[in-house]
Amino acid sequence: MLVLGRKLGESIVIDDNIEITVTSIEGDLIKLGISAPKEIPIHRKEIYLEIQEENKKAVSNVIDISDFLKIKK
Amino acid sequence: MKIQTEQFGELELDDNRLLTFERGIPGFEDETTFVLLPADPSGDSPFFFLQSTEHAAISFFMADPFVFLPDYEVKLDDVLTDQLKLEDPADAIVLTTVTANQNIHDATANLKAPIVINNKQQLGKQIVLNNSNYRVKHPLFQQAARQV
Repeated sequence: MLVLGRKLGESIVIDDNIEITVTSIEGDLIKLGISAPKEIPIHRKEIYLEIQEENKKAVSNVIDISDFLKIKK
Repeated sequence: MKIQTEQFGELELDDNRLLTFERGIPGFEDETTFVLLPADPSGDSPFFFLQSTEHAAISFFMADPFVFLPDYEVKLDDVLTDQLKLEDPADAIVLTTVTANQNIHDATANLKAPIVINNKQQLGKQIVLNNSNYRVKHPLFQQAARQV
Protein backbone atom coordinates (compact mmCIF):
# COMPACT_ATOMS: atom_id res chain seq x y z
CA MET A 1 0.00 0.00 0.00
CA LEU A 2 1.30 3.46 -0.84
CA VAL A 3 0.94 5.79 2.14
CA LEU A 4 0.89 9.54 1.55
CA GLY A 5 0.30 12.21 4.20
CA ARG A 6 -2.19 14.93 3.23
CA LYS A 7 -3.40 18.01 5.08
CA LEU A 8 -6.85 19.54 4.90
CA GLY A 9 -7.59 20.63 1.35
CA GLU A 10 -4.76 18.61 -0.21
CA SER A 11 -5.37 15.95 -2.85
CA ILE A 12 -4.13 12.77 -4.41
CA VAL A 13 -4.46 11.96 -8.10
CA ILE A 14 -4.80 8.36 -9.24
CA ASP A 15 -4.17 7.44 -12.86
CA ASP A 16 -5.13 10.66 -14.58
CA ASN A 17 -8.81 10.88 -13.86
CA ILE A 18 -9.38 10.08 -10.20
CA GLU A 19 -8.82 12.65 -7.53
CA ILE A 20 -9.24 12.33 -3.77
CA THR A 21 -9.28 15.43 -1.59
CA VAL A 22 -9.33 15.76 2.19
CA THR A 23 -12.37 18.03 2.55
CA SER A 24 -12.64 18.17 6.31
CA ILE A 25 -11.03 16.87 9.46
CA GLU A 26 -13.27 16.89 12.54
CA GLY A 27 -11.73 15.05 15.43
CA ASP A 28 -11.25 11.50 14.22
CA LEU A 29 -13.62 11.87 11.27
CA ILE A 30 -11.92 12.66 7.99
CA LYS A 31 -14.10 13.48 5.02
CA LEU A 32 -12.76 12.60 1.60
CA GLY A 33 -14.09 14.07 -1.63
CA ILE A 34 -13.69 11.81 -4.63
CA SER A 35 -13.81 12.87 -8.27
CA ALA A 36 -13.88 9.98 -10.66
CA PRO A 37 -15.55 8.99 -13.92
CA LYS A 38 -19.12 8.15 -13.06
CA GLU A 39 -18.72 4.58 -14.31
CA ILE A 40 -16.25 3.81 -11.55
CA PRO A 41 -18.11 2.52 -8.49
CA ILE A 42 -16.95 3.92 -5.15
CA HIS A 43 -18.00 2.41 -1.83
CA ARG A 44 -17.24 2.43 1.84
CA LYS A 45 -15.19 -0.73 2.16
CA GLU A 46 -17.21 -2.33 4.92
CA ILE A 47 -20.39 -2.01 2.86
CA TYR A 48 -18.72 -3.56 -0.16
CA LEU A 49 -17.44 -6.49 1.90
CA GLU A 50 -20.85 -6.94 3.47
CA ILE A 51 -22.45 -7.16 0.04
CA GLN A 52 -19.87 -9.67 -1.15
CA GLU A 53 -20.61 -11.86 1.86
CA GLU A 54 -24.33 -11.59 1.37
CA ASN A 55 -24.02 -12.57 -2.29
CA LYS A 56 -22.06 -15.66 -1.28
CA LYS A 57 -24.80 -16.62 1.12
CA ALA A 58 -27.44 -16.21 -1.55
CA VAL A 59 -25.90 -18.85 -3.78
CA SER A 60 -28.79 -21.22 -3.81
CA ASN A 61 -27.09 -24.48 -3.12
CA VAL A 62 -26.57 -23.45 0.48
CA ILE A 63 -30.24 -22.69 1.10
CA ASP A 64 -33.16 -25.05 1.54
CA ILE A 65 -35.65 -23.39 -0.73
CA SER A 66 -38.51 -25.84 -0.65
CA ASP A 67 -40.51 -23.71 1.80
CA PHE A 68 -40.09 -20.63 -0.35
CA LEU A 69 -41.49 -22.38 -3.38
CA LYS A 70 -44.84 -22.76 -1.62
CA ILE A 71 -45.29 -19.00 -1.58
CA LYS A 72 -47.26 -17.55 -4.46
CA LYS A 73 -47.37 -13.93 -5.56
CA MET B 1 -28.34 -22.60 -26.10
CA LYS B 2 -27.89 -25.28 -23.48
CA ILE B 3 -27.22 -24.23 -19.91
CA GLN B 4 -26.43 -26.34 -16.87
CA THR B 5 -28.47 -25.09 -13.95
CA GLU B 6 -28.26 -25.83 -10.25
CA GLN B 7 -32.03 -26.13 -9.77
CA PHE B 8 -33.33 -27.48 -13.03
CA GLY B 9 -30.50 -29.49 -14.54
CA GLU B 10 -29.82 -28.88 -18.21
CA LEU B 11 -32.07 -26.34 -19.92
CA GLU B 12 -32.39 -25.28 -23.52
CA LEU B 13 -32.90 -21.50 -23.65
CA ASP B 14 -33.12 -18.83 -26.31
CA ASP B 15 -30.09 -16.61 -26.64
CA ASN B 16 -32.31 -13.64 -25.88
CA ARG B 17 -32.49 -14.86 -22.27
CA LEU B 18 -28.78 -14.19 -21.75
CA LEU B 19 -28.02 -11.28 -19.43
CA THR B 20 -24.62 -9.61 -19.43
CA PHE B 21 -23.29 -8.28 -16.14
CA GLU B 22 -20.13 -6.54 -17.34
CA ARG B 23 -18.45 -6.48 -13.98
CA GLY B 24 -20.13 -9.53 -12.51
CA ILE B 25 -21.42 -8.87 -8.99
CA PRO B 26 -19.43 -8.27 -5.78
CA GLY B 27 -17.70 -11.49 -4.79
CA PHE B 28 -18.31 -12.94 -8.24
CA GLU B 29 -16.62 -10.50 -10.54
CA ASP B 30 -15.76 -13.18 -13.11
CA GLU B 31 -19.34 -14.28 -13.65
CA THR B 32 -20.47 -12.05 -16.48
CA THR B 33 -23.34 -13.93 -18.08
CA PHE B 34 -26.50 -15.08 -16.39
CA VAL B 35 -30.03 -16.15 -17.08
CA LEU B 36 -32.98 -15.32 -14.87
CA LEU B 37 -35.09 -18.37 -14.10
CA PRO B 38 -38.45 -18.17 -12.31
CA ALA B 39 -38.49 -20.50 -9.30
CA ASP B 40 -41.84 -21.76 -10.47
CA PRO B 41 -42.06 -22.20 -14.24
CA SER B 42 -45.79 -21.41 -14.15
CA GLY B 43 -44.86 -17.87 -13.12
CA ASP B 44 -46.74 -17.73 -9.80
CA SER B 45 -43.73 -17.40 -7.58
CA PRO B 46 -42.05 -14.14 -6.57
CA PHE B 47 -38.76 -16.02 -6.39
CA PHE B 48 -36.13 -16.46 -9.06
CA PHE B 49 -32.69 -17.87 -9.63
CA LEU B 50 -30.03 -15.74 -11.25
CA GLN B 51 -28.05 -18.55 -12.78
CA SER B 52 -24.49 -18.16 -14.06
CA THR B 53 -24.19 -19.65 -17.53
CA GLU B 54 -20.58 -20.62 -16.93
CA HIS B 55 -20.79 -22.32 -13.55
CA ALA B 56 -23.85 -24.39 -12.75
CA ALA B 57 -23.21 -24.15 -9.00
CA ILE B 58 -23.38 -20.36 -9.05
CA SER B 59 -27.06 -19.57 -8.90
CA PHE B 60 -28.39 -16.78 -6.69
CA PHE B 61 -31.71 -17.05 -4.93
CA MET B 62 -33.62 -13.85 -5.64
CA ALA B 63 -36.97 -12.31 -4.86
CA ASP B 64 -39.13 -9.58 -6.29
CA PRO B 65 -38.86 -7.29 -3.26
CA PHE B 66 -42.00 -5.29 -4.05
CA VAL B 67 -44.23 -8.32 -3.51
CA PHE B 68 -43.13 -8.46 0.14
CA LEU B 69 -42.21 -4.84 0.78
CA PRO B 70 -44.49 -2.62 -1.29
CA ASP B 71 -42.96 0.63 -0.14
CA TYR B 72 -39.42 -0.29 -1.14
CA GLU B 73 -38.03 2.42 -3.38
CA VAL B 74 -35.15 2.24 -5.81
CA LYS B 75 -34.20 5.38 -7.69
CA LEU B 76 -32.51 4.73 -11.02
CA ASP B 77 -29.94 7.48 -11.46
CA ASP B 78 -28.43 8.73 -14.71
CA VAL B 79 -25.25 6.70 -14.35
CA LEU B 80 -27.27 3.52 -14.01
CA THR B 81 -29.66 4.29 -16.83
CA ASP B 82 -26.60 4.98 -19.01
CA GLN B 83 -24.79 1.82 -18.00
CA LEU B 84 -27.84 -0.37 -18.51
CA LYS B 85 -28.97 1.56 -21.60
CA LEU B 86 -32.37 2.04 -20.01
CA GLU B 87 -34.63 4.07 -22.26
CA ASP B 88 -37.78 3.44 -20.29
CA PRO B 89 -37.83 2.76 -16.52
CA ALA B 90 -40.48 0.15 -17.25
CA ASP B 91 -37.79 -1.98 -18.91
CA ALA B 92 -36.03 -2.34 -15.55
CA ILE B 93 -36.53 -5.39 -13.38
CA VAL B 94 -35.43 -4.93 -9.77
CA LEU B 95 -34.67 -8.00 -7.68
CA THR B 96 -32.87 -8.63 -4.41
CA THR B 97 -30.87 -11.61 -3.18
CA VAL B 98 -32.49 -13.61 -0.41
CA THR B 99 -30.61 -15.44 2.30
CA ALA B 100 -31.99 -17.74 4.95
CA ASN B 101 -30.28 -19.83 7.57
CA GLN B 102 -32.70 -22.28 9.06
CA ASN B 103 -36.14 -20.89 9.14
CA ILE B 104 -37.96 -19.32 6.20
CA HIS B 105 -39.41 -16.74 8.60
CA ASP B 106 -35.90 -15.41 9.24
CA ALA B 107 -35.21 -14.90 5.54
CA THR B 108 -33.69 -11.55 4.64
CA ALA B 109 -33.44 -9.54 1.45
CA ASN B 110 -30.53 -7.32 0.50
CA LEU B 111 -32.40 -4.05 0.02
CA LYS B 112 -29.16 -2.08 0.15
CA ALA B 113 -27.80 -3.62 -3.03
CA PRO B 114 -30.56 -4.59 -5.44
CA ILE B 115 -29.92 -6.15 -8.80
CA VAL B 116 -31.28 -4.18 -11.73
CA ILE B 117 -31.82 -5.84 -15.08
CA ASN B 118 -32.65 -4.20 -18.39
CA ASN B 119 -34.58 -6.96 -20.04
CA LYS B 120 -34.65 -5.32 -23.46
CA GLN B 121 -30.92 -4.74 -23.70
CA GLN B 122 -30.09 -7.90 -21.78
CA LEU B 123 -27.85 -6.08 -19.30
CA GLY B 124 -27.69 -6.27 -15.54
CA LYS B 125 -25.86 -4.88 -12.54
CA GLN B 126 -25.94 -4.95 -8.77
CA ILE B 127 -26.18 -1.40 -7.46
CA VAL B 128 -25.56 -0.05 -3.98
CA LEU B 129 -28.05 2.46 -2.60
CA ASN B 130 -25.35 4.44 -0.87
CA ASN B 131 -27.39 7.24 0.58
CA SER B 132 -30.18 5.14 1.95
CA ASN B 133 -30.52 3.41 5.26
CA TYR B 134 -31.81 0.23 3.74
CA ARG B 135 -30.09 -2.81 5.16
CA VAL B 136 -28.14 -5.62 3.58
CA LYS B 137 -30.23 -7.95 5.72
CA HIS B 138 -33.81 -6.76 5.76
CA PRO B 139 -36.42 -9.23 7.01
CA LEU B 140 -38.41 -10.40 4.02
CA PHE B 141 -41.61 -11.14 5.89
CA GLN B 142 -42.11 -7.82 7.54
CA GLN B 143 -44.69 -5.39 6.24
CA ALA B 144 -42.82 -2.17 5.61
CA ALA B 145 -39.49 -1.54 3.87
CA ARG B 146 -38.70 0.98 6.58
CA GLN B 147 -35.41 2.79 6.31
CA VAL B 148 -33.69 2.16 9.63
